[in-house]
Amino acid sequence: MVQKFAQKTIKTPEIIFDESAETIEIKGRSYPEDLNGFWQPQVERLNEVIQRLRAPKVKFELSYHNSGSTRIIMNFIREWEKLAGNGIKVSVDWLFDPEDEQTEEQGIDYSEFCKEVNFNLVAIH
Amino acid sequence: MQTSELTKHMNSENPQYVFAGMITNKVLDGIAAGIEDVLSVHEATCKKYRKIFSIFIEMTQNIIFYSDERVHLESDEAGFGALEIALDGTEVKISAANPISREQRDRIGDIMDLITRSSADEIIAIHKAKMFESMEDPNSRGAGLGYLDIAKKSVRPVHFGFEETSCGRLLFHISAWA
Repeated sequence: MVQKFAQKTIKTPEIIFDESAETIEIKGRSYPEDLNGFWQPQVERLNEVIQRLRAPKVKFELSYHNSGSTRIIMNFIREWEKLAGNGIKVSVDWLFDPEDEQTEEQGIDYSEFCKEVNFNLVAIH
Repeated sequence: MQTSELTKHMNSENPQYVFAGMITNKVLDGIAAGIEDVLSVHEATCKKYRKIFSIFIEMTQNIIFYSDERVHLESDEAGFGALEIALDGTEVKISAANPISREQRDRIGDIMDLITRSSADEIIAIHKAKMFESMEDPNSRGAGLGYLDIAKKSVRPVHFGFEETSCGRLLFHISAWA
């Protein structure tokens, strides 16, 4: 079953959960007017569903995210690193436009904090 | 506070966008759309519009969320401040100014002093350390991450300053280049 957890807006990403494919897609931009108002329910829901999966894959395709959203992504990484102890190995695909150095560099930064999370940088062609 | 006091650091010869007054999320949306629609195709800015956009968003959200002169609205927030995006030789200068409290001055001063005495490589390392801090402490607000992000993206050292206005208020202004 595919569920849309959040609709895309100008400042917030679309979040789609495909349970059978064990995939979560976070696509768009993230610079919400109310950072916690948008992200807190999503963080709780995503961390809850991800624990039901064996090999969850999270695909980030963010063309822009602000510094507040960086903290949210770092908090995701912290939680997903811990899941390895429960036998849940999270994979992250960080999708970026090859012409967008900023998003690529941000992905490299995040990858450096991942020991258990399998973090992949994926150029979109 | 007079808007002229806000904009006196924004006297660029080749401004592309200038706004001074109460800045709301809707104002941000309007200018952001302009940056995307115009600067992404303008010959002088098309290759750097993503960087201009991200510096602009950080600066503008700082004004909306933290300006010390504000109006509470039912469905939005409004912070008093000024913004300018201007061509500066082969670069693009992005500037912001807004009133701040004495407490904000100490907090912003600490992070800006750290930024100005750090090299580009050191700023990258400090930025990474702040990211790690926010990962270790879920309640961390990542103090200064936004300013570090601006400094990291700026192709020149950021300029900043504090000043007392004629009405006895404190003003913070910052410029970065893409």
